[in-house]
Amino acid sequence: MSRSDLEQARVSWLADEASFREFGQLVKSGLEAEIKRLGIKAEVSMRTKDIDSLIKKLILKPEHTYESLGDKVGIRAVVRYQREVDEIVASMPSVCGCSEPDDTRQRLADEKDERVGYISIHLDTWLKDDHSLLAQFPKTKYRAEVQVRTLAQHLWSEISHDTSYKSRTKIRKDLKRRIHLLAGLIEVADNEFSRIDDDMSKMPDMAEFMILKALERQYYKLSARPGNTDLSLEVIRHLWQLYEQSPEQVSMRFGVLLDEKQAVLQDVFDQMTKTSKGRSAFFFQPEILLIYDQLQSQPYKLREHWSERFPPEELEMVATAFGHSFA
Amino acid sequence: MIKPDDLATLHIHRLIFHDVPKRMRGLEAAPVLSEIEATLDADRIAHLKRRLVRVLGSKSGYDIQFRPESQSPVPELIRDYTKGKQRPDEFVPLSQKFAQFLFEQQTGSSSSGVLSIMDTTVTGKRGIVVLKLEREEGAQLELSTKKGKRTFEMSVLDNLVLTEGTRLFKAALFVRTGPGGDDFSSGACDSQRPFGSTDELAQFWLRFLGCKLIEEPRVATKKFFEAALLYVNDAITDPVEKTKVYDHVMSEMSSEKKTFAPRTFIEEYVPKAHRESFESFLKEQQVSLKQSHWTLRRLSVDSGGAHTTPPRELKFAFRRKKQTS
Repeated sequence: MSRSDLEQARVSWLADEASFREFGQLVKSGLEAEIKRLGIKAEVSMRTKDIDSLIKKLILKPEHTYESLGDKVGIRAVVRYQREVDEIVASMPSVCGCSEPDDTRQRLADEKDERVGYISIHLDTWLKDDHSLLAQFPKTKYRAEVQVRTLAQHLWSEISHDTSYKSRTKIRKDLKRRIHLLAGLIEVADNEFSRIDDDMSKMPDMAEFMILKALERQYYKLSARPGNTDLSLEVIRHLWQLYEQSPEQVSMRFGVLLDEKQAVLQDVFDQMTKTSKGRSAFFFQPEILLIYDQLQSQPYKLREHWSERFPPEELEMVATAFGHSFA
Repeated sequence: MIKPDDLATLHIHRLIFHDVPKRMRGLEAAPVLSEIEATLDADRIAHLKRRLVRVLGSKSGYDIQFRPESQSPVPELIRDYTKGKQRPDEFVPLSQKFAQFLFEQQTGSSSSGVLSIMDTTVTGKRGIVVLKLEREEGAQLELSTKKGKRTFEMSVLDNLVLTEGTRLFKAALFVRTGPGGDDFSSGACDSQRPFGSTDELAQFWLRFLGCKLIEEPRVATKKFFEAALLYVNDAITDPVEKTKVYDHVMSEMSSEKKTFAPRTFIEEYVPKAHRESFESFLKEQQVSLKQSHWTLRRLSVDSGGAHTTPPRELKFAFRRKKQTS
């Protein structure tokens, strides 16, 4: 790419960056809404390329022009488990127009590819044909690269970004082997995290964990704000036996509860997001759904049990938010 | 009927205050009317909403409906304002009409107060909140001018509405549920005087609102009594518990109090193991859990009999159930 091309790219990007940012926000909002619908805890971020990165990329990838460079906008969703990556990727077509996922698992399997490393999935995205802002952000120009990763994949990516693991330069065999081992270690960790999570949510002797997992699955449909896990387990431990049901039966209640009450719950969550004064510390916690369920079904027992361990004023604040008065 | 989900999804969009003094013979007085609505921040709205939930959802709240023969203009104002889309420009004049009518009614022993009208939605349905707060005679409310129009300072809200100590609340919520003139879910509460009191003041709030209780206390009481005895007979198996709850039902009905709320009765007298199922049973039997029940003493007064004489049908039921138990 000639110097004048680079200069032109610089001028173009300075003019275009704001509109790409606006476009990126649109895709990000759509992705966040979908992740919420799926009930997955995720950190979603969006960035437009800074001018230096853009020029550097054009220098490193001479096959690209300013127009063809795909990741001027990058959106990243970092989740906890591999199955959540798969769920999000599978539902991407409902969010926006998108390419087939580029899965590095496929590329790393290619023996001719000299790169070593770990899994990462990304997709090229654009606005759907029926999107109301398609004229403002035509798909020929406005594209964003969406990456979906687990935390372990993110760790690998962040480290490898600062090293040469991803480069096309030939790496010495002994080093390559060590990098492969390290990548394998992270993959094993990822798989183990998933398996442990699965196992914990199926063990009846670990009822609190099982119920917390079930609560989280519904809670993250209402809020992306993470709770304090220790507090969650403490509340669940104290209250779940009020149901006089097995942990499996208790776990199944919350999906039904959300099906019936999602509109009301979402409304209350939105109101609580706008105010911090007078909001109970127990509100943005997954077990809030258990408390709500108990408020609806057995408020007397709930109040009695609650006050044995937790401040009654906090329950009163939660109850008031859900339209119940103890007065 | 106002339900917890209604209160949970209550959104306050506009709010205005008017200072409404008492009308006294020989003295010139007039309401001090705001000319623009108050500006509210998210925290104040949330706090105000919490106070409303505590009052309207409380045991002393009651379900109401418009009274067809009422002379109050309030029902018509509410019907008209909640019809169709929100009309922000009509909100201030509407609220001033409420204040003017309250001033006309506020004679004799009824107290001066601050009237607040709120434009609300409940799960997207239009609604109006009417709130009256009693204030000390002679207390001055701070007025200010914004855009050349008179309004009350937010200190009114902070000092009167949002102070946890303020107990003298009269509140009502009307939610439009359909296009008809009576398609409303409505509830009210008078924390100062329960509706069952015989004096004039107790009826003041309902009369001002142009409303009546959705269920006659006589009917509500009878339903509670019948349902409670059915539950005692069929669901409580332990003979000691059975007798205790039965005695409590009887003593509640014949107590010196004028009114009672089944929710309070449950909390105070029903054994822990039976509270949820008793409440569910009452709901199944369509018994209101709020303070809309009169004791025999109050019912006697209502029927014009001596204070100790319960109305005939309830007295009969009372005696019959006692014998069969």
